[in-house]
Amino acid sequence: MRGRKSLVACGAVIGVIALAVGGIGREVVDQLGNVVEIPESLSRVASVYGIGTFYVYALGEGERLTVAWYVGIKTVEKATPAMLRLEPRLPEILSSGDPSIEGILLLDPDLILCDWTENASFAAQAALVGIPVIQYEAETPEEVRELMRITAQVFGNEATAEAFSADYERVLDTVATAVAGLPEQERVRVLYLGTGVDCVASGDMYQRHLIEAAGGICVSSDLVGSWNTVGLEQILVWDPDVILIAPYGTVETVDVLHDPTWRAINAVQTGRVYKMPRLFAPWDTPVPESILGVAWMAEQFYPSASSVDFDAEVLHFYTEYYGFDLTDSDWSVLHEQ
Amino acid sequence: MRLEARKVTYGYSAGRDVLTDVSLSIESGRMMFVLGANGSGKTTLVQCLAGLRVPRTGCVRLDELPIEQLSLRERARALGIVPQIHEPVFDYTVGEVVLMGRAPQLTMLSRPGRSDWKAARIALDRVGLLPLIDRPYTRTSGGERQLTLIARGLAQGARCLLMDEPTAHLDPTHQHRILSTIQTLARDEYAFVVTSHHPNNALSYGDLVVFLIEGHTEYSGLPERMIHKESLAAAYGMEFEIINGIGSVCAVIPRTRPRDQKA
Amino acid sequence: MKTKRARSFWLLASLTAALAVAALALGRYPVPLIDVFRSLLGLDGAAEVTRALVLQVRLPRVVAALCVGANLSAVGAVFQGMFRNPLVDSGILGISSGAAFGAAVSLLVVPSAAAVQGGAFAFAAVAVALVGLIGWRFGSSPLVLIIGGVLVSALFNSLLGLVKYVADPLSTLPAITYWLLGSLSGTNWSSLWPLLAVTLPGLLFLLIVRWRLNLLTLSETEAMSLGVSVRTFRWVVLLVGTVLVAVSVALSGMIGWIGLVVPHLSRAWGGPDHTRMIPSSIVLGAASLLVLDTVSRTAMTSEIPLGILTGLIGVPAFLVFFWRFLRAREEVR
Repeated sequence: MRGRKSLVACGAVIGVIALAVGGIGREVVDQLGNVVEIPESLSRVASVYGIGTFYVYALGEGERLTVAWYVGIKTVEKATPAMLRLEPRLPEILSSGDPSIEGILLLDPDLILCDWTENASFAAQAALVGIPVIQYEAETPEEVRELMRITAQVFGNEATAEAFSADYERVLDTVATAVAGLPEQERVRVLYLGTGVDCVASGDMYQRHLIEAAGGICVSSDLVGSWNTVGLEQILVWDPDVILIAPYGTVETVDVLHDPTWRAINAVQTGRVYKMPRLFAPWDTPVPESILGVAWMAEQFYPSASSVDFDAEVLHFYTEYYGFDLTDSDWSVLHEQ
Repeated sequence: MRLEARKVTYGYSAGRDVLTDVSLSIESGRMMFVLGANGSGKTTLVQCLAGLRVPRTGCVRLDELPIEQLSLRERARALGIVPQIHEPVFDYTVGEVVLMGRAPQLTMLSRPGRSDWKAARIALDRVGLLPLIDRPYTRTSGGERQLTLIARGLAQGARCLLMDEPTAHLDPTHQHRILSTIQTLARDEYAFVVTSHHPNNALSYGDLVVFLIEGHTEYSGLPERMIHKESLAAAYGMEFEIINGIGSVCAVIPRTRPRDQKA
Repeated sequence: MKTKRARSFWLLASLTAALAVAALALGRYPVPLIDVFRSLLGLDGAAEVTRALVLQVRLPRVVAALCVGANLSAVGAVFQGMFRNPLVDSGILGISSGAAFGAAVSLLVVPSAAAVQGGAFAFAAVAVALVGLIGWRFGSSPLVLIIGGVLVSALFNSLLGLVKYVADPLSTLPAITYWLLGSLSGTNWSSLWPLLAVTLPGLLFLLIVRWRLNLLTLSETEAMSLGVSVRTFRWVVLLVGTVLVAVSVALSGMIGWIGLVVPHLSRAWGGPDHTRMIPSSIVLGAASLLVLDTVSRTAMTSEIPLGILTGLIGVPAFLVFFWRFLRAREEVR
């Protein structure tokens, strides 16, 4: 009699523990090292980090978003047609500006995805009111992969993260091998222009990593901070072989190609001035498809040596991760740059 | 040259007149003192005489010509206002300050030339300040500043100078210097209208006196005849002791002892 | 004494001209001095890129620096006299804040260089008109105008904050921030000609009436008793000054301290008489801004905004003058 009672007691204790463990849900370590409890049901996700939002879509979990910030899209008018097809609810869930904790609370989110440099105080407030917050931020290609891994963990989709990492490696390796044989002098010198015709990306920015991953040399790598204004003279001194323009900048390739004062630059003379592509998000920001940015750059820099099948990679990437079908107009947008 | 005010009435706002039926007249060679308490309208009178304010009724005439008919420049060439000295903001030299008086002689687009500097030097010489021509105005004494402003008025070419309390803030030495300079100039066919708080100065230096009592001109005439107990009491609201010299009044002192205590 | 000053003035003017030519030879891209002369005189021998660089990039910029420096300094001198206040900068009366707001709105809506210049100028004019309205309503004494300027500046600064808030942080906001720091980067002949067209007649006017400007330092009564119709003259001079500053700020962005410090330098050299102060402010201002702009575009790989340089140098310079001014006052007492 006593034996059975103690057995039942043990079983009850074990059962309670098992229930407790099962009810807690999963735990994920975010990029800041915090352990975050992920609730079982994730139907109302708020993403305050404009880059992180796209990772949710890349995992095919876009419908879980209740409110989101999107990099490069401040209002619905700024969204590309492809973006509107990817997310038809965009007008309802798009938000921008500084996030307000009360505004987000009103939407009753299960989880908040947040970046830690711009929105640290917001994250602290969210934690105070008891909403789980994942804090992360990507500024280098390694951090891009880590971001994918963490986000995949959140949604219980580790397999996708591994596939993504593998694809990422594959593209990087292909590019690296193709470029490895080239001697120093044949490496392409690249200038990256941003919001204005004399606005140049610094060495601290993501664009520099993309350029170097694609086998190019970033001429402005010794500049620091954010966008720097340099005079035309400095650009003449650098004399880049290729000029890339950010997709959200006000500069068009024709502005550079037809400006007589730029004529002496190698890139202008050979016509190698390109605007970076953008389907939903600009490819020069740390979104998942920025690996396509590397592939695209490699093709512009070394058209003969490139062994990356650009079209195939784009197709693979958008169908495999975003589950998105590319139309002809999408292709022409990507190719016309 | 004759400057005349005839029954001038002026008020800053409707219903409150500062000057009522003011009449006075002055000719070259004369120095007229305008005595009155604070707020009696002395500054307004000076501005009306100079044509800067237009009277509601009555008129100001310069050599029989109504002063409104003259342009600003013509007026400035005949009449000058010498203001009270004030703290200068910039350190112009004495010569540069006097040179500004040449403005009515110059057109909009021209700059002072050699003849203008000559006129400025003559003006400074007349007030005895020529050695100070290159001294910064900020480094002059109160008396020297007042003389500079007088010289500026002379440099204008004005034959009649209207002076607003020129001896305020000055010690007796400088007061004497200013007033005796003006007296000498008056003899040289200039006319001076001097507003003042000091009846004794009027007695010592003035040819004519007029009291401004609550906006009315009264007791106008020779100083030794018009400055007496009645006029002083009306103007300043207090009693004065009269000190007689040989035959006529030569000084006045405010009565400080109580009435029932005789000397 | 007078001829010595005249001689030193012409020396300064020639030095400025020499600096201008030297500035054409300086820059990140090496151009030998001989090629500068070849390009300027239309002779052969210089490479095409050098000629294009000297004539299309550096020359308009040097001219712009000279004009903006001269304008801000001359108008600063005029305003300090007119408001009887040596602490006045040329951007008073809300000109700078209005221009900043106008430029920001243009960058938000139509970010072409011409639109930015036009917008900056338009709103600088609106700001001054508002101050004029305040003066018209409350009496245009210097104090009222200065207070009006402070209020209008505050208004446009708030509006500017609003524009920055709604601006796209990836593209528009950095452009606005950079414009606000002041720069002559990207000046070319087409953006320069409005400045030239206004500067030449404007400065000429100020030079012609420069002696009469002394009369504006007198009180209104005094000036009128000297036969000068002050009100008209004051408004005309204010208008000319405003236009000169507005068109300069429209091109260069916010550059402070030049309009405040150069007149003090000028006064220290030749006294407060505008006969000397206007020409010397013009030359000193042109030379100063030219030197600073040359440093801005040559010293480092990326351009140092001009407004930062004028502030870093202007503030200590002003402190020196202020200290000397206080000491001189002590001596007089």
